[in-house]
Amino acid sequence: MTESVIELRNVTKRFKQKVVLDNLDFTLRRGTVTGLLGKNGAGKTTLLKCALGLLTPQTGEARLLGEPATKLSAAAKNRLGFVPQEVSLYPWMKVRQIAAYTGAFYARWNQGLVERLLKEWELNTDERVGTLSTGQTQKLGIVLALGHEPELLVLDEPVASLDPSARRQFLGTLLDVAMDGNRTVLLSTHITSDLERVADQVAVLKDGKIVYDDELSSLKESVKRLRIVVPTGLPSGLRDLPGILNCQANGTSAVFSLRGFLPELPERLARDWQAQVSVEDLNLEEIFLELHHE
Amino acid sequence: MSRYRQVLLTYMTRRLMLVLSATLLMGIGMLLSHRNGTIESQIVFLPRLLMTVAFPAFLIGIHLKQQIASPRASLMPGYRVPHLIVAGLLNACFLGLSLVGVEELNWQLPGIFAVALYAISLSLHLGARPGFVSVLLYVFAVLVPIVPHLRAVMVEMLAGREPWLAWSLLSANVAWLVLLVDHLLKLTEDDPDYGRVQPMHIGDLRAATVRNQLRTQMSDYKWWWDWALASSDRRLAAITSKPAVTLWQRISLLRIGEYGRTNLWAMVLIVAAAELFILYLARSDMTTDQHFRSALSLPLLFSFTLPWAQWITWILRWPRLGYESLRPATRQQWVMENALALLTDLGRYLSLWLILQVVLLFVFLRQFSASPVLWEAAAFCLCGQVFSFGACALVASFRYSVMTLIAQSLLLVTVMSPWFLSSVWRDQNDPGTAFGLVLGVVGGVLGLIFGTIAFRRWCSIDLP
Repeated sequence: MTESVIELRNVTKRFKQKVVLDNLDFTLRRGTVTGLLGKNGAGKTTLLKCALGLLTPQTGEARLLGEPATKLSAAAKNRLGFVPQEVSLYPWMKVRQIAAYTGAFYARWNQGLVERLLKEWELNTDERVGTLSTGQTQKLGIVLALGHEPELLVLDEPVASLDPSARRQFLGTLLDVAMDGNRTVLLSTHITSDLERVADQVAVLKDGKIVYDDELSSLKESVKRLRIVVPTGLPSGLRDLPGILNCQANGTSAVFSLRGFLPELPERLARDWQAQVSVEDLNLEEIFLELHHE
Repeated sequence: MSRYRQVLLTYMTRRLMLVLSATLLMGIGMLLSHRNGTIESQIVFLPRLLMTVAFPAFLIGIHLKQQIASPRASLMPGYRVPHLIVAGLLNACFLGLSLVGVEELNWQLPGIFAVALYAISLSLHLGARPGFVSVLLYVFAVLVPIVPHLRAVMVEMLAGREPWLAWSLLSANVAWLVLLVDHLLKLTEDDPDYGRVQPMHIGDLRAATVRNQLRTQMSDYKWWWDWALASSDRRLAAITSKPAVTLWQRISLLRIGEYGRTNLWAMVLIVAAAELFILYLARSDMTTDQHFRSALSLPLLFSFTLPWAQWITWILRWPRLGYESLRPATRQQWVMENALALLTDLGRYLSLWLILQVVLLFVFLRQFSASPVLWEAAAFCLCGQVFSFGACALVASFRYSVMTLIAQSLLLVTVMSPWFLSSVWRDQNDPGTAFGLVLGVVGGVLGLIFGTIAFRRWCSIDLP
């Protein structure tokens, strides 16, 4: 068994003249819950679809579960679950029917799990799919993706349409899934607080490339906000500090964030610039904003 | 005034205006090219005029409904009236083509106005308010030029010898349009018709858009859906009771999945009923093989609409295809199984169609049961089916848009052209020539080539 379940190497994907993924490298490691972060239009969906073989990159190679993504075998697809951004199902079927229908395609289908989730998520099994709300359809899409207990679960903004209670239920389920060390989850989302609850890895997509791909805790250790007060005036080299992301200076004080923070940095700055330095931890949302600060 | 300009811009930004302009120019060209002859011979060109006015009206109807059946129409002050006026003016431009008919072909104004306005209001309704009544009226409109008795009445009306009929038809059309305008002015989300918006572009097929439209319809007609889908529910229960292991089981699953949208049984029966009506009225006029040959055009054309309609509904599945392609099967298997599912359904529809044709033949046209035209038609039909299926599969592999829909429609016209061409050839040359058959075989070979290219494309194209 390979350690990586998804591997993208030098992947470039263009739509006409617009380069969405630019010579991108990405590896999804087995047994992780990885959150894919990026601004609107950053290419998260394109990345996921290239990884799933739905889109063919102009250059580079995408592999999923050890196979070329565009030539996946039936066995590989049996191990894969996917929830698209907009779930589109047969509207005429009832909820229980679409569950049975989807299950019939798979060699292994956990009907008990599906029934339990449908009940927990308050989906009326006798209702036609066409009459469900956007959020209910999204919930149903998630249940259908979990029914065959996939080894790899790929979710494209799965909670965007869910209410807070459904989101909490979804995250709980996701944690249950992730508890099995063999399972791997890749999800893109804008709701960073959710990611903080479930993800152990974070990948940040910016300008067509993965600019960060490591453990969430490492990211939090790496990106910090510093407040600095220099009574004699701010030094000119402040904005040239390595890894600086955002700096707001005002006379003798400044607030700046930087990436690649080292524990000894505050002490060194205090010593070199005769300054008072304090360090603030950032949550994932703040880190996301700092990383995307123009 | 700027508000009206903005409304007009919505047409120009959708490639729609391009299609409308091309139709207008083609219509003018066709009418100007036919100046002489009697009214009876000019009647041949009436369908062309009607198509020229009806097709844009249909597109305008879809576009207008997309604009009106939206929250903007209810929330923005003064939104609906400019949209309705611009749509009305655009249709009036096409109605103006009737004047060319009056000028060049010596038709009488009330008669031709009545016929053209009927085509416009019918197509506008089909686009903006699709429903059973519109479809029935459409079938009637198709029957008029085909059925000799009805055609004779229309000729009289165009010649100005039936003024009361012309004015009555004109008044009825105006009233029908007034009712449509009134309906669109008052349309709210509570109305089940709010959800009946037809797609014109890939963006119109977004899951959220389609879902919102369907929700309105399915909530309001729950009893009807439950009744209509009862047999599908039973079939589905039987099919999904065990995992689909064999190829046939998987094909059955794929077929029933789209059952709600590709059910063409009713369409086959409605057209057979229309044929029955035509044959009942026109059977005495058919005395020669050439007459019989002409009469076969309609059933042949209809047989080719079956693969065409199947692929149109397939195109509408576009947003779902990526998701569905991730079910356990290789891409090649998935494409092949879907193609087999479509072919299985097509085979069933064609079998019913064939049985109905044989029955109609033996009841009304028994004297032609040994005609060589029959065998020619059978061979042409077979080749045409191969061409239609292959060519439609290829066109469908391109993103859904007005252009792909137009390409599909052109295919429907193209597939019949050898049959018409061979009729012309027979009139002018040796009646025993197999010119049409040769063209048909060429079409069949082309269909196989298109089908092969389509298969390769479907195995490699990007899916949403």
